[in-house]
Amino acid sequence: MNLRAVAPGLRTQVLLLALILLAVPWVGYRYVLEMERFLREGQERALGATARAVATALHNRPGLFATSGAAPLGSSDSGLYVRALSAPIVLDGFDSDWPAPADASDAPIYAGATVSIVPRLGKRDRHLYLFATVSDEHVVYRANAKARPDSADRIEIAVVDPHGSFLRFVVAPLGPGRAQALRVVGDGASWETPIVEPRVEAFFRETRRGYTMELRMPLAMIGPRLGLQAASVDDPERRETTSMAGPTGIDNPGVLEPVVIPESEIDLALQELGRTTTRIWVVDRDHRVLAQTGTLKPVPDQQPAFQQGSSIGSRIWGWLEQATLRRIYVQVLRRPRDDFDEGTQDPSALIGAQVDEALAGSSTTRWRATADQRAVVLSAAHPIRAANAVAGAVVVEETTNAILSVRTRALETLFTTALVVLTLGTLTLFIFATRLSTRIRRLRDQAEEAVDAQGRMRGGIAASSAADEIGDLSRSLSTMVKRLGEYNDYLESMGGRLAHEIRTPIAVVRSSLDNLSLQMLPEEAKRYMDRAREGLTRLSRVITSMTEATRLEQTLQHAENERFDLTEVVSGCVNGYRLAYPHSVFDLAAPSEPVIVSGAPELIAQMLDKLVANAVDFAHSNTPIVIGLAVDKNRALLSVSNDGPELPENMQGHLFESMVSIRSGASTTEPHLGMGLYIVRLIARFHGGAARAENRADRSGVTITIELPQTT
Amino acid sequence: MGRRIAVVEDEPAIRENYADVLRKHGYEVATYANRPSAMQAFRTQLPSLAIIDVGLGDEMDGGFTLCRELRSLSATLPIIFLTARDSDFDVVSGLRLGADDYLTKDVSLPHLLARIAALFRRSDLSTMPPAQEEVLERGDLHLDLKRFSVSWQGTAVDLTLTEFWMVHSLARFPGHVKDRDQLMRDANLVVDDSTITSHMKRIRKKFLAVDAAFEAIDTVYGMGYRWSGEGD
Repeated sequence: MNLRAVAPGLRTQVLLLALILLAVPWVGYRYVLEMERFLREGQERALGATARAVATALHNRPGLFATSGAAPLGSSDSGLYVRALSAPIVLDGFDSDWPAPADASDAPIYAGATVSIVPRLGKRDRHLYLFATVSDEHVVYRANAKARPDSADRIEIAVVDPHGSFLRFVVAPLGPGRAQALRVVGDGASWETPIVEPRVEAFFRETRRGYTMELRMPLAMIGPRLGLQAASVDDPERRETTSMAGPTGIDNPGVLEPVVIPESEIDLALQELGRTTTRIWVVDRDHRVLAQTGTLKPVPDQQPAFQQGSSIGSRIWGWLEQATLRRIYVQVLRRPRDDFDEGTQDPSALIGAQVDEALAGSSTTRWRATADQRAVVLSAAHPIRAANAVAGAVVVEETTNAILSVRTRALETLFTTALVVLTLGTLTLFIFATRLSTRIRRLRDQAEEAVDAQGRMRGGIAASSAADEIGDLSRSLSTMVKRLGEYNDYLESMGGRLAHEIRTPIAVVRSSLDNLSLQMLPEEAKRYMDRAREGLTRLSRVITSMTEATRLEQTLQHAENERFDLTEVVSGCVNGYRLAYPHSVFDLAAPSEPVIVSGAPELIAQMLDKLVANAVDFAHSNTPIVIGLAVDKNRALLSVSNDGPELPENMQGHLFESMVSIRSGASTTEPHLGMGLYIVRLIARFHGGAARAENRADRSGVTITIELPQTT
Repeated sequence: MGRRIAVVEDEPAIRENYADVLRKHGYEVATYANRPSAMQAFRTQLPSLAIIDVGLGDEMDGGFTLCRELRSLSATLPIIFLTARDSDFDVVSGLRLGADDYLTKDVSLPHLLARIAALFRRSDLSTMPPAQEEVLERGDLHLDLKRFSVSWQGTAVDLTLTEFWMVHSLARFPGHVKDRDQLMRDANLVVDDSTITSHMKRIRKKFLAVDAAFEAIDTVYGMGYRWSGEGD
């Protein structure tokens, strides 16, 4: 009993076993990690292959690098340096959308007598951008649209276009704001008859020290050479050009700087690769970016609307998953994010150890985190060779977001599946264990029910029809209990049968003695006759008390209940005892009002007889036997108390059992089989009550109390 | 005419002891050890009185069967069960089959002889008109002490001999409490207390069958019983 409280039950044990199921998500997790590692390796290889492929495509094409390599646009002496622009440029005369120059050599000043210019060149979206900061004390605008282009402050640009023609443009504004460009040389134009060139746009803004000019023209207009200068007119009356400044001469094609716009072949080659979330850089030996294509961030295309599930079930499941699990996953699992920040990066130059190594001739792959740690970028670098020398390098970059999202999705699916499997598995096991333990417990209850506290068989065990081991056990128990019951019946009827069997020889002896007494016997023989009769009487009494309990049980089965006044029965009985036991003193403490109980009054009297006989036997002489009747919460308490020896400690619970006697010796002539208190208990139980025996509080004697339910 | 008593008993010692004592008291005795032999004899000639054991050899309830057969041969033949079986169930079964008395083997021979004599007297008197009445009247109760017959409110109550003696013992002194020992003595019986209780219960039932309002027998708990007929 105690063990059962401590040791885990069958259900707990099975649930503990179910913990094994937890290995499923763990194994799955390991598998996903392995998969991720595999995918990363694959990505690394693929990226390396891409880098090599790009590099191979650019191998031995010195032309690509030669022009820019020999006289790159904006070589340090010419100062015309075209940088790639990462952000779009708005033509507004402010340079806030231009990248800041890294140092003074990056933005050299070209100064004339009264004018100086700081030109900045950029390339973006197939346009050339120019931002010129011009210092000029007197800003002189053209008088009107018909005025000569060289009659005011101006920026002049000259190009040799892709067809080899020499073109010259002038931007001489009429005032601040948007300005037109006029072609003054080439294609039928002259200083006297300038032609408006709409492809060149410009914006003019005055500053404290002069003005700024922002200009844009398509790269398609620019051929192999480019020139640029600022010209100043200081006197609005005379309108003579007083000073000119610029990185190049401009008057004829010979003074222009050669230029290769790194558009063209590399870009085309790269674009053909057409990878959406791959960024490819091509740099030359000087780390300058010759071409760059692609972006790390995917084009935000329309996320497919949530799939309308074909069945209601899957839709409910989807909703459930969305409502519960996804929230947890978002908290726990790192989902790839496209809103990472790479930090500021110089778009015109790519620097870093990896590029150095690639330029040194070795190809590498490398992992790095973005500046904000939100994404991991994998980059592969490969050298581009031209004529056995390293001409440049290809750097291919890609985030691991694709893998990450595959991983996250796999983990989500894994956890969802594991959760479902765990829940279902545990539930199944739990139900199974519950059923098992219920069946076992029912069997145990039946087994406990089958035998009462006295070890008597109370009933059988219903044999289960189940085919498994528990059913088998139940059948075995059922058979066992049945056999035990039969044996028990045999034992129980033993007393009665013994009495019955003894009665016949007694009858033989008795009738023989009776016959004998009819003879004329000598006096001496009569003495022996009497002794024989006395012995016979005692033998009869033994048999009577042996069968008394059995007969009482039979009586109880047929007894009829009636309502009666317990006070009357008890006081009547006590009056009888005063006559029957003239040497004993009886004190009765009973209420004056009736105490109504339901039962058989003659049985109550029989019970009281036994109690009083018991008390008289044990009472010290000349001490009163106290018979009490009291009412306590709908229960009638009938007690018989006597002075005398205490009950032995270990016997108190057993006193009311059959054949238990605490009498020390055969001191009395009456036979004592220990049936008296057993009969008391039988009768008390029949009335729905209970009997208990206690030592008096002052240890002067013993009180036996019968609790009977009161009928209202 | 000699009185012929049949003793049907499977235990030879008891059978012979009873036979001896009965013969000594002037009765003619025929003994049978089992039911078939007894029944065979009864078909030829009926005894004046039969003493039957319930268990006869292999037949657990042979005595009951015999009693039923005997009763079918004669409605008035006095039959006494003398057996070791003393359960209420057996007593009721035996009496319901028409036995005049049901005694356990605890009974002493003098008590048995008193019963036999009384039963003969009753059967003799019932066949001839009453010469002189010996009657006890207590209100509705009418006791014919010669014929051992009882009537309540003019209706006959069929009591066994033992029951008759008990009622007589109570009714003789109305209002006096008779304890169980006195009742046993008066009923020529030595039994235990609970048997007396069963007897009193059966007596009450028999009176109640005649008169549902019968309550002339009082139980005085712890002491005994008392007749409380009206007028006392």
